Amino acid sequence: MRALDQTSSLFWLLVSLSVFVESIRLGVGTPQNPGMGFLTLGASGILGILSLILFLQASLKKEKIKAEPLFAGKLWRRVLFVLVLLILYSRMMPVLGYLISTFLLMTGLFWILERKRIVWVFLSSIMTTLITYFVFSKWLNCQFPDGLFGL
Amino acid sequence: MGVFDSILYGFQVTFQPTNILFCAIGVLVGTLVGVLPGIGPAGAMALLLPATFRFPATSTLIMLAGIYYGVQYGGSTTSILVNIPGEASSVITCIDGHQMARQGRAGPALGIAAWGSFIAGTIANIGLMFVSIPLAKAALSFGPPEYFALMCTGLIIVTYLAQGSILKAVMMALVGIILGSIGLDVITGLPRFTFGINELTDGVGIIPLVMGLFGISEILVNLEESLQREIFKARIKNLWPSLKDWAEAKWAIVRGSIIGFLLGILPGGGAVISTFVAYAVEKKVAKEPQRFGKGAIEGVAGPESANNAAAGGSLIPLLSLGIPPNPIMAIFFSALIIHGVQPGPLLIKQNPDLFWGLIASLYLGNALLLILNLPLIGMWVKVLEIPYRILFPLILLFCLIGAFSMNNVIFDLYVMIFFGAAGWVMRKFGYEAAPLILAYVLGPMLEQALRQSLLISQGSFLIFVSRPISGIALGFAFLLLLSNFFPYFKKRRKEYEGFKE
Amino acid sequence: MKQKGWKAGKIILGCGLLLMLLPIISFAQPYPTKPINLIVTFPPGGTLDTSTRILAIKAEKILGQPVIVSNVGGGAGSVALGQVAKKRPDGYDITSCASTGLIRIPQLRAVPYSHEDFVPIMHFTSVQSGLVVKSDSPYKTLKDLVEYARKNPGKVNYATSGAGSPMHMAMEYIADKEGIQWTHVPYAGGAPGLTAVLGGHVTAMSDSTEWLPHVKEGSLRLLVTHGERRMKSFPNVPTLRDLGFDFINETVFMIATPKGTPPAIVKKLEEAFHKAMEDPEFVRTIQNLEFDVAYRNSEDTKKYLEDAYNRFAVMIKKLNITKEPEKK
Repeated sequence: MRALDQTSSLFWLLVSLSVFVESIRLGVGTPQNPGMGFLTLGASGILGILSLILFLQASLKKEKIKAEPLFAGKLWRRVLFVLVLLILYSRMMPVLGYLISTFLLMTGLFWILERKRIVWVFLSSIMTTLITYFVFSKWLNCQFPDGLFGL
Repeated sequence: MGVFDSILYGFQVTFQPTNILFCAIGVLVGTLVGVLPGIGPAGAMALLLPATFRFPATSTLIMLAGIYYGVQYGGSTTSILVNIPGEASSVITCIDGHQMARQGRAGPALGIAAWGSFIAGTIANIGLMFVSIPLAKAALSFGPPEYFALMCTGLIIVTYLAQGSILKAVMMALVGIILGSIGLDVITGLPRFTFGINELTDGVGIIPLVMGLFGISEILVNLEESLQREIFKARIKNLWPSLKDWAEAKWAIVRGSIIGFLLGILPGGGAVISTFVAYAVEKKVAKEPQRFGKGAIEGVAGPESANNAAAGGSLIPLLSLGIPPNPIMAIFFSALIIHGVQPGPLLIKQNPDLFWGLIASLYLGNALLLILNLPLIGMWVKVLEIPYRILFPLILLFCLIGAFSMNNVIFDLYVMIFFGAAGWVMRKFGYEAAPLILAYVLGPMLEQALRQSLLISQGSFLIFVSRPISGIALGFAFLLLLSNFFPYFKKRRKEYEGFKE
Repeated sequence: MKQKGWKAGKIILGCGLLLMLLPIISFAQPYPTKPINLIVTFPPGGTLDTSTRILAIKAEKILGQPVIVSNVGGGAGSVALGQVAKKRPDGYDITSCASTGLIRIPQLRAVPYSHEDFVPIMHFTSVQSGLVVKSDSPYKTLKDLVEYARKNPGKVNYATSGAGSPMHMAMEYIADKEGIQWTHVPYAGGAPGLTAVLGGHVTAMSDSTEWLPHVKEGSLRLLVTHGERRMKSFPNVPTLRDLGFDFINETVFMIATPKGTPPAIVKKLEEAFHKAMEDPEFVRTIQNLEFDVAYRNSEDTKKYLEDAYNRFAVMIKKLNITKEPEKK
């Protein structure tokens, strides 16, 4: 945990510093008449101090066991793939409409763990897309974007 | 007319066939909406509203109320099964509820949530009948200083929720406060921390935030492991809470109900605060607090009872004062107005059929919900038997639909994905999401209360201690804060004594 | 397997192309030939949403095509308006908004559109607001309150549901004209403000009609209203104009379409929605909300907005309302 805590505490220190600076820009006001940045200034100030404490704590702790690697040996590529898919989906939904983009997304997601059964992947993607479309759009009146093709 | 005559009269109103039907439709839609993250209660009610113009006001209100508490019932289901809270008030349920599901105890978790909700609903209803008017008056004495004191207490209690390092939990709470301040500042009406993004002027949406930090990040963590082994490998042991479960949970339900009912009356975040106060109380009174976070049934029973009782409590300001304490009650408010009923202090006198009919319908609806939900538990538990490779794409899709359909803005999807990734990284580094979300809810209220108080007092801090309620609450908060350090002093003292020897 | 997928793709592509051609083929037919999307700029359940939905049900019968109402919430209407401003001006994407989002918000903070990006079709409702105090307080008229504030500077404070709102401006306008000072306490929405004034935490509240039931029941006293005319339910309560203050709350609910929509289509929509307003169910709903059914056609609404925009600009400067600093 040592290296992890050191890294994360430095990250939070960075966050707190930038929030601190922005809070001052927004106007802190006085204790009698706090401004827009008053609370965030306080919060980021304490966050900064606490992350320093965390950093010191982590650095002073003697750790004999070697920490488990964060990413190595794990299937982090899968996670990245899912994240990219989700971002693409959000990007494409207004253009392609709910039906097409959802079908593509579901195909991608099912494919991750079912690479061999392509037909099954296609069929279940079509099924889920159509069922959710009817349940949410037709029945519950959700308002999905129509997209270029009006689908 | 005494209360009992009134409630009899109310049952006469409720047991008209149309009203029974409307009540049943309401709780059915509510359960559905609660389970599907795709659409919130406010959205469902607003969409049904125009369809009710033709029907009498009482029937409409009975149906809308059914949706409202039906959603509270259904909301725990996704928290327990797949670790996705449908809204802020079921975040706490995730902590122990999902752990129970992983240990094959999804059935008892869902069962105790349903029974707890039923009991809480009934307790709240009795409170609504007998003490609504004095309590509503008492709620009015909560001005900005009292809110400030309450929020301070709430924020300190947040630190009790820490499963791991308290230091990290406090840091997360601070990050939550900063996140909560994104958007328009209420006092000046100007945007801050919005990075020039127009969609952020109303702040980071609670639904995408919660779904990202809990639901999406959970899926990412699971995906990262090799999925050869299934996530829910534990056998499902039993469907119902056992006698032992009941023994552990019964007082949690009662305590949760009372906490929820009282805090639900307060406008604003009453329901959310009540859930984690209930959780913190259970953890404090428990003999083995270390069980919490690892599937303690009280950790489900307390908060789930609290949020249902809060749903009942939040009807009080609306019905006896005409003040809608939350967006859902605001829809009730406009439903009443559209039907030409003026909500307010005169409502009980002018429309007794509506008031007592509604109250009687709450009994009916609660009973219907229990009848409807208990058999469903068997079905929900089956959901966990679906292989994860099929389940996870569906969960992701439901999250996407849910985040989108709140405001119909694509930007919310990006927010959810961002916090999904952030939550995934946070877990790796040992940070918890629950304190962040609670502080995110409380932070803005704390800030508004502070600044409003100082505007009213013209900058004098005496306002916080000179008023009895806020003074006492702040004193209590201070003691709570001190009690956090007691174990630390004790430990030090022991070390010191050990050193002396 | 791969070929199958390819075939499906081809079919989808073909269908898509055909659909894209459809509008060209059907060009000769008179507007509207397909459903009209109407975006409400606030979340479902509010007063704007409710009144728009009823209006839309009536209008679609007249237009002969469905009017699909959807909601895009956020930023006091500015998120939705930012989206609609970018839509094709063909009369199939229109919006129902409060004039707030067009004349006030763009002057207070940076938004990705301006009021000139829209052509108003008509406005159908004018919003009411007013100033209330607790009925056990000694202030019987606005004058009482003003005199008390004059003698006790800083003692009077009032709640509103937002800085820079007309309700806030009305109070500052009075203060400016009378040369007095009172403290503004903004709340997040009407309900918390109402709680504050009922609980005696603030002296007064200046807000839209949330106070109505309490004034009728007698726990709050209405001192003055901000509308053009007196409210039907309270004919004895003066407007600001009656008392010699030249200020009205000019917020209206309106239908608008992106700039560049052909005038013939605007005309058609204007006629349809005007006719829809005559429906008794619509009139009753607006009256239940205690607003005024008020109509101006496209031309007049445009002028009305233009005037309100300029008056607001003058007012911000005069009353020192804070606004977002310009980005460098």
